[in-house]
Amino acid sequence: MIRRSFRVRASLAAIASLSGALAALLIAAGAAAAHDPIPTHARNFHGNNPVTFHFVSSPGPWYSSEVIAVAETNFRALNSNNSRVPTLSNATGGTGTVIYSSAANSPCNTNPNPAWLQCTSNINQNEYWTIYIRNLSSGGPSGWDWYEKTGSCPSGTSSCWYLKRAMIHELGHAMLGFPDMCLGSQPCRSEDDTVMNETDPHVGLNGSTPFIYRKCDEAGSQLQWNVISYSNEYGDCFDHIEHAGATGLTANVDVTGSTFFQCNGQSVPVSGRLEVWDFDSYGPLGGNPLEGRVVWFNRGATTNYTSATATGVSPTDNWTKSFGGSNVTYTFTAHFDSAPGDGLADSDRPTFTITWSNQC
Amino acid sequence: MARVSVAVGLVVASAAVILVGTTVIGLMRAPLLPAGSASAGPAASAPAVTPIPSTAMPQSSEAAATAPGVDTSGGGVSVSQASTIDAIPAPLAGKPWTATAADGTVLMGLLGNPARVRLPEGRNVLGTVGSVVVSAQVAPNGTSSTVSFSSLESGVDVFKPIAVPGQLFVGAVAGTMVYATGFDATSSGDPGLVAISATDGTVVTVIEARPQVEDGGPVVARSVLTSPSGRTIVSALCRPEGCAGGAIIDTSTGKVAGALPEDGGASAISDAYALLRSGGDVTTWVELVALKGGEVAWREDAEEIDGAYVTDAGEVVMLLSRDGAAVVDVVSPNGKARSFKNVPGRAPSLWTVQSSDDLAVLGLDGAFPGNAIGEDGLVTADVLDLKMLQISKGAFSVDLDGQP
Repeated sequence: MIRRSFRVRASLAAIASLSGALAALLIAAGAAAAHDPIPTHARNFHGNNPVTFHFVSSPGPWYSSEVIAVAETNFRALNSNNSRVPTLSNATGGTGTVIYSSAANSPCNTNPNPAWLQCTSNINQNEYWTIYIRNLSSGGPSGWDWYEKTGSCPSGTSSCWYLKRAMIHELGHAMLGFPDMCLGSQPCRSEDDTVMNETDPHVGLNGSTPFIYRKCDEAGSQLQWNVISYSNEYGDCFDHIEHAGATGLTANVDVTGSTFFQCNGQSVPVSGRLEVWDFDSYGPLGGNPLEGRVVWFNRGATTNYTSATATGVSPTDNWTKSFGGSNVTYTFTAHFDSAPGDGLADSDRPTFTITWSNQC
Repeated sequence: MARVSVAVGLVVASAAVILVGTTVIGLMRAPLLPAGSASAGPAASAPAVTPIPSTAMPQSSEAAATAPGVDTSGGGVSVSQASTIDAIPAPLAGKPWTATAADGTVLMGLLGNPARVRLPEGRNVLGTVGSVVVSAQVAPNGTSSTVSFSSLESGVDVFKPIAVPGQLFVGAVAGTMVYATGFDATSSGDPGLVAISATDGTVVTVIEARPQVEDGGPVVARSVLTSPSGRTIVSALCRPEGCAGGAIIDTSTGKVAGALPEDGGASAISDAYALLRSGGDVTTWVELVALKGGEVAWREDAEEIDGAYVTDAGEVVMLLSRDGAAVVDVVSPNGKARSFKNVPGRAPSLWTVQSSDDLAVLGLDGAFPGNAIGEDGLVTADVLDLKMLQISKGAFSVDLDGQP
């Protein structure tokens, strides 16, 4: 027989206090690197999934195949943009437009800029965005090249860019609502954190590859759209948002019950929930089940005595573990330990006791 | 080609939809300076600066091509005539447009004029003075450009092409002069600015090219803007992420008369003001600054501005997104704004080159022709009367190539 008492959960105030203290420590330690998700402007894709796009003036397969690869594969790859933003699909008459343009001045913004490479217009028009890629072979600056056209940089790397890098950046504007970073009020970010810095790195520079979103891009997209897969990664860039733990989103372990009694020799199934803490600042990520992550149980002084793996169900318990014993009372401590790069922070550490005896 | 568009103007609106917008008086930017007035300087004339050597190119055959669609000898320029054209509201007549055809050739014309010029792929239109189209083609080695002067009507060269140092591919017209600049690929420096006479091909240096700018990265180009009167030019150094600051040039003297603040790029100018904007794809702010003194007249934080220009009187006409809807703001120099909110249909773009002080031209997807090209080669635009704040849907169409 199992007698349950109450669900153990650390108080929000306690967690907030803890994260505040950690933040203060980080500031005191001079950890000034901006490690926040890239901010987004909300999009409403009117239920379209996927968003479709079409080409205007494609110069050939070297161009269209690369654009399609970035849009259809890289844009929402689970290992770089595990978010619920709509997928992209190339289709005749698609709402999005990718134009290969010979315009001498930037066709997008209000500044006549003859040094333009790529740009996006109609940013606030949801799926009706337009991305312009400059035709560097006609009418533009001599010596500028897209690497993919020949698989090389005929005039040297300093005037040569990857088309795929341009596309992943522009789709950040068009689909994810990202601003340019390192511009105006937006701080510069490491090229390891984002593809959204205003300057497109030329071939050979750090950040010119790979052609996927970086961790703060992914975090920004997830904060706007939630994750598409609970078991896949969170962007490792949440450690400075409100209520963050030391390394990212704070995890929460619930145990359904705190005191259990059982007959000697009979197992005690204990269940609970492992999830992302439900802070307002976590947006849609709050309460997400941490599917595939491990809840560890210390037994007395024995660390990591046993474990259970969480499932993706919501909002109910998503882990269960059976414990055995005889003529003994054990105190168990449940906890989730974050791993480097997983975008999460260690959980709270609720305890529960199980007593086995012959008085049952 | 089955043309279905009809002559529709703001007054003769048989097929147009007239919508009355919402006028909001009193929206205030932060006025930092009393309204100024544009000083009435002398009309634009040839800059009084030292001509630089230019090389007359070998003249091609001068066989005139007057029949539509017939190639001329002017470096592959061909012409055509639109069989019918829409009536264009008078303030817009003569405004230039360019479009790139699917084969890479460049189409060029003037609103209300049936003549069309088709330029070879890679040729950029620098400007049109009267019926002379001034265009440039960068030489294969990237060190110079061939500037041609073609008749809009016949396509033939009105005088011999010239060779100008540097890569010229943008221009702005002031009087009979075309101020042109572009990019310097050979030294990664400032390409400078030249003024080219559309009447005799004389070239003068306005801003000297420099082989390596002090603060430069590897990529530098120049922009060029003109005021509605043509009395003022602004030219800024640019990188792919945007332009900053800029030299202010008085076209009556051809001399640099001042500089804009470096913390923004000029979107448009009048003789008294410049509209500055944050860099990058996404606009975060705009401000109107006085050319003389640099005082900020007003400033506004805005998420996206999709086109803006300044009228001769210093009013800023800009299209922006506000609360999820497209809005055209007309903002006086003292920051007072009138807004047209009822922009119907998909949010448009403001086609600044084709607009005037009185009428704003709205199309789709970036600068003319955007994505507004129908299968029949027609581009249709809406027109907003800036005084009445009334929009005329489908106010006119442009038949790009004049071909059936």
